Amino acid sequence: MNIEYQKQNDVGILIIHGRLDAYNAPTLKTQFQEYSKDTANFVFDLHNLDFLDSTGLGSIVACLKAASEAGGDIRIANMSEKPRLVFQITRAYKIFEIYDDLETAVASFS
Amino acid sequence: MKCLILAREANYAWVKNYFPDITACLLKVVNKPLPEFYIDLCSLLKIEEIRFVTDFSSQEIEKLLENGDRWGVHITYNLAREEDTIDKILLKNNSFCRDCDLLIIDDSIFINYDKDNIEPVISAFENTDSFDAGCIKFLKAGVSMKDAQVITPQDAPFSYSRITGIVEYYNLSMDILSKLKHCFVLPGYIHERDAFLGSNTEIGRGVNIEPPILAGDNVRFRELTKVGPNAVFGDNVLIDSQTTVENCIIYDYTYIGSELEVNKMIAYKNHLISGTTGEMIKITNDFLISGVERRIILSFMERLVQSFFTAILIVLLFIPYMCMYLIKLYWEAKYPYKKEYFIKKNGKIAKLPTMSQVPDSFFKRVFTFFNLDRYSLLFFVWRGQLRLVGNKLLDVQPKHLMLIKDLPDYQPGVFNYADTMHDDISDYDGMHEGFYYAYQSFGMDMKILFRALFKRKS
Repeated sequence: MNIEYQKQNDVGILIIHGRLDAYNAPTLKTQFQEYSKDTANFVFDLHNLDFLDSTGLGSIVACLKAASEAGGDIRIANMSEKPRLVFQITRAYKIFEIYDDLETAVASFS
Repeated sequence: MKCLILAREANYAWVKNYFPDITACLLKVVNKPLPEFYIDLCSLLKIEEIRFVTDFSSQEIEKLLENGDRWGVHITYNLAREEDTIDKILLKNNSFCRDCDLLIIDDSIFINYDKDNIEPVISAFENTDSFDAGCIKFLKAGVSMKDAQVITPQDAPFSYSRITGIVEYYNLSMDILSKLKHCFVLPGYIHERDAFLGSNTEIGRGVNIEPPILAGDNVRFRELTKVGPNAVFGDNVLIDSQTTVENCIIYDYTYIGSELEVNKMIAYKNHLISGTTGEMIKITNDFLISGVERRIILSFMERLVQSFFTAILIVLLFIPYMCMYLIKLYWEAKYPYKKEYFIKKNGKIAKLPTMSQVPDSFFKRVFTFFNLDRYSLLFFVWRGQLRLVGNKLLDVQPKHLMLIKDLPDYQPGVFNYADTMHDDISDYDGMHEGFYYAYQSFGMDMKILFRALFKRKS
C-alpha cells in the first residue's frame, strides 16, 4: 500500500494505492495520526485502491472516529468497484459520505 | 441524456413484509423486475448512461443488471445515505450528472409508456424545460433542482403509478397483463393467443389454458388444471392436477396442490396473499402449497463435512483437554460457567459453556492457545445447534439482537472470522459478520479454521 498526501483548501486528501488489508491497516492508522495534526477534514480517494478487506475498512472507520473526535470528518471519493462492494456488504456507506469525484468531495467541506 | 434511478429502502418497506427474501426493488411486475422496465424505457429514449443510487446494498441489483450490456446501455452504481436529499444525491454524483440532460426516477413507480408509440415522448423531452413532477424529474444540462419548474405528474411527458402497497402491486400486475401488455416488452418462449410461456413448460393432459397468462421457465401444469385468465407464473412452478388458478401471481419455486381453486391471490412459497385486501395466510400443509426447497441437499452435504472435521478435532484435542480437566473443573466451580447466546437469526437462545468470566492467567492462556475453551462447544456442532465455522457467537444483549436481525443470515460457529482478525474493531461489530456472509465458502471456512487453530487471537 502507498499513501499519497495532499492538502487543498484546508482539506487533507489521502490517495490510497494498492491493498488495504490486515497487514497494511496499522500503517494507515499511524500515517493518519500524523496527517491529522495538520487538519481535521479529509477526503480519502479510493480510485487506485485494488483491494480492501474488513480490517482495512476497520482502519478507515478508526480514522473517521479520530477525525470526528477532532471535530472533522472523512469523505470518500472515486470509489472503484471492489472497495464499493466491501462498503456495501459491511453497510459502511451508512457512516460515510461518498462522492463520485474528488473535487466535489473537497468542495463539500466548504 | 442520462438517467439517475434512486431506490430508497423506505419506499419498498411494504415489500419486506410480504416477500422477505426478495431484494425490495427487484420485485417482479408481471414477468420482470421493476428496474428492467426503467432500463427498457431508457433504451427507447436512447439514454445510454444509467446510474442506480441506493441507500441499501445494491449487490442483488448489480448481479441482475450487471453493466447493462444486455440492453446496450452502460449502468453504474453508487451508494447514498438514507437521509440524503435529492440535492445531496446530485452533488454526490456530480461527475455523472454534470454537463448533460438528466432524467431522474425517484421512488418505486411504474412508468406508463407505449413502446410502439414512443416518438411523442422523445420529442416532448426535446422541447421541454427542466421540470419536477414528483417522482419523475428532468434537468437540462447545467440547471439545478431549485430552478426546475414544479409540474403535476399529469403534465409530465409520461404518467406513472406509485406502487405503495400489495394491493396496488396486484392491481398493476393484473392491469398490465389484461389491458396493457402490448405497451411493454414481454418476452416469451412460446407466444400464442396471449399465452406467453417460458422454456421447458410441461402441459399435462386436458389442461385448459385461458389467456392472458404468462409463465416463466420450468413450469408444469399437471392434468386437468385450468390456468388463466390473468395468471402470472414465475420459474420452477408446479400446479398439481385438477387445480384452477385465475387472476393470480404465482412466485418462483412454488408448488400448488391438487384439486384447489386459487383466485385473486399471490402465492409466495407457503404464503397466500389476497390481491384485493392484502391479507396473508401461512399454509402449513405442504400438500396444499409450499416453497420448493433448493438448498436442502447442499446444506446436508455442508453439515456432513463440518461434522467430519468436528470429529477430527474432538479426537485431536481429547488428550490435552483431559490434561487440563481438573483446572477446568476448578474454574467451573469458581466462576459462572454457562452464558446465554443467540444461536439462530430468529433470536433463539441457548446456554453455552464459556470461559469469558475466568480472569486472565497462565493456565487460561494455555487453555486458549490450544483452543480447549472451544472443546465443549464442538459437541453442539454434532447436535446441529452450531456450525464448526460460522458467525461470531453473540451473547444475549439487545444490541446483538438488533445486529443479528440486520444481518442477511446468522449461523454462529465454534470458530469464526472475527476471532481470527487481529484488529480492534469493536464499535462496528457487523463489519466482520457482513464480510463473512458475503465471502463465505468452503475454502474460506477452511482458511478460518486453520487460522483459528494455529494463529488465533489470544
